[in-house]
Amino acid sequence: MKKLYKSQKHRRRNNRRSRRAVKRKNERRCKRRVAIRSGAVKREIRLVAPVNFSLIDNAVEALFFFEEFTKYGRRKHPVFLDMSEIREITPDAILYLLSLFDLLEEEHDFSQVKGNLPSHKPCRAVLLESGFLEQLKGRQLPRLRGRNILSIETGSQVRGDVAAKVISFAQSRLGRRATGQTSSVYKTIIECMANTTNHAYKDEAQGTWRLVASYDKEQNRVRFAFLDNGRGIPHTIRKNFHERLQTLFQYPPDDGKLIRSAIRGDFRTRTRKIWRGRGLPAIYSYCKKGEIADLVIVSNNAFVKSATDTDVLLKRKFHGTLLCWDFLR
Amino acid sequence: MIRINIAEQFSRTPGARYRSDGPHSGEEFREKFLVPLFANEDDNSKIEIVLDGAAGYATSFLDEAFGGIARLYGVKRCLERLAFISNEEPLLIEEIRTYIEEAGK
Repeated sequence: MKKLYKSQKHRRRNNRRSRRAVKRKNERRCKRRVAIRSGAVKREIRLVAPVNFSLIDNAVEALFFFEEFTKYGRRKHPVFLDMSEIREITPDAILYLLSLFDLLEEEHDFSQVKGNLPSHKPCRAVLLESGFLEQLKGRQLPRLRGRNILSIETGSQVRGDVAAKVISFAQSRLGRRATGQTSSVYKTIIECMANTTNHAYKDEAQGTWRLVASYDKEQNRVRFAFLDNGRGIPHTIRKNFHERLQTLFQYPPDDGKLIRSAIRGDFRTRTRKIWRGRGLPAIYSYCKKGEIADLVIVSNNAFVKSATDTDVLLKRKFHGTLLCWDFLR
Repeated sequence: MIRINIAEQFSRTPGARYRSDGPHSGEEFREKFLVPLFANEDDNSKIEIVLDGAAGYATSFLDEAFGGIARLYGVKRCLERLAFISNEEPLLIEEIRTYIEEAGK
């Protein structure tokens, strides 16, 4: 049993100790308040992810969230990403979040990010099984293998073996075996990788692409998402004289119009070689023939739906290029 | 007749255009397999290219491999010597012919 020191001497000593402890605690609080006011230490910003965490289905809210994250990241403000309220999630948003982490770390040396996982179990599973936490640097976690999502693949070169692996995942989920039926998907992935390697980055700097495939059991389809955080299609394609003039006078041409022109094959290749610039038109042709479905391209300020040949101007910029498409049974 | 089965002799997962893009590029295929066969001007033997068995062929691969050889040695010579077999994707043959013909423009 603990001895209770009730003597006058012990009570005086204990009171002195507790007064000193309270004084030290108050001094620490005061120092922190002064540091925050002076800007030496920044208060952590809590950013709440949208309930529908998807660029394809909820571009407006998702881009707002990403823009806020980028804004505070550039200012080197500690950020807490609150993902607890997410009820729907698609892999394209996960890819973009990872690419922003890379962008902020490389360009602004920013890595003060904390966060939580979605409370909603299926969304939590999608996030974990995609390999999201593994992709963040410094994380050494056992890889969770999911049935419905293939872990995110990353690279900086054209990798046919990676494309084949992703195809194999799709084939196993959809029950397709014939190569001829999946070659359009393979070609689409290779073209995307080649565009990243050749055009997305300035001065042939090596950039990174990310690729993920997820199986939707209800709709019996596999969705692919491919992303790079390069300069974006509207920025990298060749513009005609009129368009360059518009850009010069702070009135840049419509990004959606530029992307649609590129996928139609309007000779937009910067190389100016007649045999180049076939990649995007080839992907578009697979979509038109029905070999791939629901092709969506998001780049800079454009959200283009190739299936309906429509585009939406985004108020908030998307850094890089995202291509999503479905493969049906 | 010389027969080249791309999937078996080169790669089941062909890449993109240039060697710098990554492994199994069209440039690599052209230099390894086609250029040695076209180097001798007097050699007019048929070359049969089997396209079946590979995961797929990107446009950039096909153009650099076959369009590229036509740019080096001439469209007519290529069309005369090259024959293609593609049972899985018959339309590939027409696509390759287009790249070869456009190489002359």
